[in-house]
Amino acid sequence: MTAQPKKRSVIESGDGGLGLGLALFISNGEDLGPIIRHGFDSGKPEALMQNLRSIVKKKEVEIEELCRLHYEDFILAVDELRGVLVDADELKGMLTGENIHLQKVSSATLLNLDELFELYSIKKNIGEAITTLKICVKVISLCMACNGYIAEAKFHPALKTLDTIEKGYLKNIPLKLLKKVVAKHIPLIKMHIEKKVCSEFNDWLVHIRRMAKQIGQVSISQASMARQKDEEMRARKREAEAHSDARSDEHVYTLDVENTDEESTLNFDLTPVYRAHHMHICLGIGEKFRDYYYKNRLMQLNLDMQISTSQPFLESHQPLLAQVAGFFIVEQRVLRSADGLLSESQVESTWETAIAKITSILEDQFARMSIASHLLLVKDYVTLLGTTVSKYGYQIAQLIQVIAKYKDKYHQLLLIESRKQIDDILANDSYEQMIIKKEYEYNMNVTAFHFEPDDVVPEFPYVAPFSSGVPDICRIVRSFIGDSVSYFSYSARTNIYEIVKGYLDRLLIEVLNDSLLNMVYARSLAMSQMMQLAGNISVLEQSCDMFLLYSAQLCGIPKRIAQRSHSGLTAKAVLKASQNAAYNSLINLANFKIDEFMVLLDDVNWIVEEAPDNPNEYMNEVLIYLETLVSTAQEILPLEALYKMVSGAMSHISDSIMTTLLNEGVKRFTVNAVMGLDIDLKLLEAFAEEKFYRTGLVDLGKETTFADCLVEIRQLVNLLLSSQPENFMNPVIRGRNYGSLDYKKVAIVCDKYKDFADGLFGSLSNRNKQDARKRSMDVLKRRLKDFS
Amino acid sequence: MAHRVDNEYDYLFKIVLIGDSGVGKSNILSRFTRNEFCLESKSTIGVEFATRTLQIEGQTIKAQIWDTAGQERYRAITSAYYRGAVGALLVYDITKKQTFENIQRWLRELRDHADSNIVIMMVGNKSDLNHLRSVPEEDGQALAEKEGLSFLETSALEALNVEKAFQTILKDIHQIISKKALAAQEAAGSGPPTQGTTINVTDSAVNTKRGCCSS
Repeated sequence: MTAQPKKRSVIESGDGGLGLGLALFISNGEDLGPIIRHGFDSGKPEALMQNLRSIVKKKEVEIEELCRLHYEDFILAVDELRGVLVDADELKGMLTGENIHLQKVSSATLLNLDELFELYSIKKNIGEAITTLKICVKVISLCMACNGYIAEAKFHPALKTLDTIEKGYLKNIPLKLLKKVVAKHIPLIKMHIEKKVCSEFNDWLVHIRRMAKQIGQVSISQASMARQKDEEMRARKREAEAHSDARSDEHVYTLDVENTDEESTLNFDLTPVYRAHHMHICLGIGEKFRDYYYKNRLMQLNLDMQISTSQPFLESHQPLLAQVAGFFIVEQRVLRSADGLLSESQVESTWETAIAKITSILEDQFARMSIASHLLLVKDYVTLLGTTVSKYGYQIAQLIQVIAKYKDKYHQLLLIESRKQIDDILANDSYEQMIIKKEYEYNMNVTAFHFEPDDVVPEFPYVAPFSSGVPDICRIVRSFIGDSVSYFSYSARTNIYEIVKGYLDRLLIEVLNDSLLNMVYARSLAMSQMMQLAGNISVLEQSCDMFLLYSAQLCGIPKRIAQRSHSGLTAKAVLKASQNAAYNSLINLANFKIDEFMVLLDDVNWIVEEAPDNPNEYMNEVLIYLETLVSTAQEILPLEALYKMVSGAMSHISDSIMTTLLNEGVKRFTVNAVMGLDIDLKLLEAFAEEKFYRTGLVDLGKETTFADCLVEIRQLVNLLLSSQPENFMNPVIRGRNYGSLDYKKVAIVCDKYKDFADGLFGSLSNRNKQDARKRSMDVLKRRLKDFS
Repeated sequence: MAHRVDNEYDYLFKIVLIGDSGVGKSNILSRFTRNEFCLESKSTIGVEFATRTLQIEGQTIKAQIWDTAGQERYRAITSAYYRGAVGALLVYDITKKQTFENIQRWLRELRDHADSNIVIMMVGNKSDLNHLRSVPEEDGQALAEKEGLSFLETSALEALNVEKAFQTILKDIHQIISKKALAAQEAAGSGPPTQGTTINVTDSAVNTKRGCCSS
């Protein structure tokens, strides 16, 4: 590169220089391009062309000289070449011959070569075919394997195989027809698998629907047994409390033997569900299966909850509820173990649907039930259902509410049944004191209800203060208490004692007391029977405390707490009032009876002319009756009642005699008749005095004795027999001797008082005496008349 | 095979499908006559019918199947459609107990409106829904025996027993018709043999057409 500028500077110096330069360039064999290009670029190509032509002329001259110089050598050379040509031609002939010879010799080999090429081609084709067939064989092997799996109902490996075919081979299958067939059959096979799996699942649905009832029954049975153990434990605890001397640290252990059949029932098989769910997930339609499962199970549940129309609810409710329990136990297991097949909210909403339906059924059935034990039976099973399903996490508040809602209905039925029973007992009672001849009878009718007068078992036969109706009624009341507590057990979270107490009060007041009052007012009982009824009421009134303790005991309240409680039963006061009503009825009945005898007063000869030696007939009858009355009442009635009754009777007799004297029936009477009354009264007063002391009534500390009840008629008789009846007008004497007498009554009676003179042959002294009394009576009559 | 002309048959038997709405009568019809099942539940309006010709004991029977609406409001127009029926399929749904309990009412309707010699088969459909069953198969069998009916459980969805149900009732009908035809023929045969006579079985009110004479 550095040489270039020098050469150019030489050319540019002049034309002679250019020619020399060119010649030098040519002799050196250098490239003339740049020089020529420069010449044309500079716009002066003529100079360059002339120089080049001159060089050409010089060279031609040199060539001609050179040719003349070397002419002979040239001719020799041509001869040589012609010789070579001839030799070459000879060689060519030889080669042709050799070639022909070679061809003859090698034709067989060439054929073999062609064959070889053909075979190479075949080999290539076969290789391709083999490659294709390998793929096809692989695919078909997989297809056969898949078919085998399907034939053996092994759908999971079948699906795996299908996936392998679809993802790994389908695009690469070289045979179009095979590819088409395989592509077509893959979805068909999947559909077949889906159908098969669904069919298997449907079989499981049929099976589990049948099993659900057994599952439910076994679970409920287990809950029932657990409850039974609870009850036994509680009963033992109550006995321990009842016998406080028993050892409190005594323990009873029982061996729980598991029922293998029940275990196998509760270990139901969910494999078909898992399998179906998994297969549907593999098929890519898991959601479809979940939806199918949920809908079909809901339909099954709705079918199962249809009430049987041919069977009474009392018989059909247990299978129905067991079926529902089993259904939800299965659902809970599926929820926990089937990995997303069910959602928590789905199970909850299904349960809400079911429990709403159950509560609706229960309300409908409870509303039409008319026997308390039926309602209790259903309630027990419902609470067992509640216990069972709550263990699996289901809410049972609605069930509890239904039961609570119908407690009034239940107790109303109990009250109706109890009323019927009590009415029957009262109607069939003989109202005679119960005679107990054997110890077991004593235990059953006396000890059981704490009616013992003391702790010592008495001599037999033992005469009880009550009739046979009383222990029967007590058994009904206790049964009522038990039934009431049974209704609330396992279904009430609050303390049920107050509620049970309320219903017990209703039983004792609305049923027992009403029935007793009906008997009191029915006027169908004789005197002794009425006394016994009153005595019975007394015993029943005292039993209220026993009933209350029994209620507390059944409600699980310790005895000492119950005893400490001050609130008792309202029924106690009500029965007390009824007792008084019975006593009043007794008094009325006694008085009514006495009236029957007092009618005999009408037969008394009020104008008898001689003083009688014997009492009037009516008084004999009355005294006989009173004797019987008191002796019977003494054995049955409490002293207070006895006092009331006899006092009432005495007062009634007094009033009857008084009324008779005041009535129009008696127009006049003589002093002799009054003397007869005096005899009657003396007898009655003696009776009253004797009974007052003999029965122990004196110990009551009453200010009024039985004789005091006769004071009015006694004072009247005393006045009429007095030698100076006019003293009645003296305030001091009247206050002391005639305080019970009424002015008007005395006036009426005195007006009827007539005295006849004795016979003309009477003694003078007697005559004088009578005259004096007559005058005094006349004075009294006048003064009473003036007074009024 | 050579195509048969539509009127080339030995007997035309009219069969009625009755039962509560929704038990699947229409799908039983479509399964038997067209081998189709429709999943959509559309109520039949009034009456539909379809026919299918089949061979029973060497004779060509054309079955004309009448499908009716089970709903109450279509009852007025369905009483006429019993006319001329020689067979009836009494259909109930095994998943709905009420449809089974109503069979008695449908039987009364048949006996009130249809020929007293009608051949009756009781059909418990939807047997594919075994997991939702509310009528045990034994109950269906017991009622059928009590009433002197044939009984089958079918699934129109799965084409189970549908063909068999129709085959059974058509055979029963054919057997009865054949006996009557034979009796009529014997009565007519008291005279000298003839080329052939048309047997008029007016009792059954069945359209009888013979393809060829026999004597």
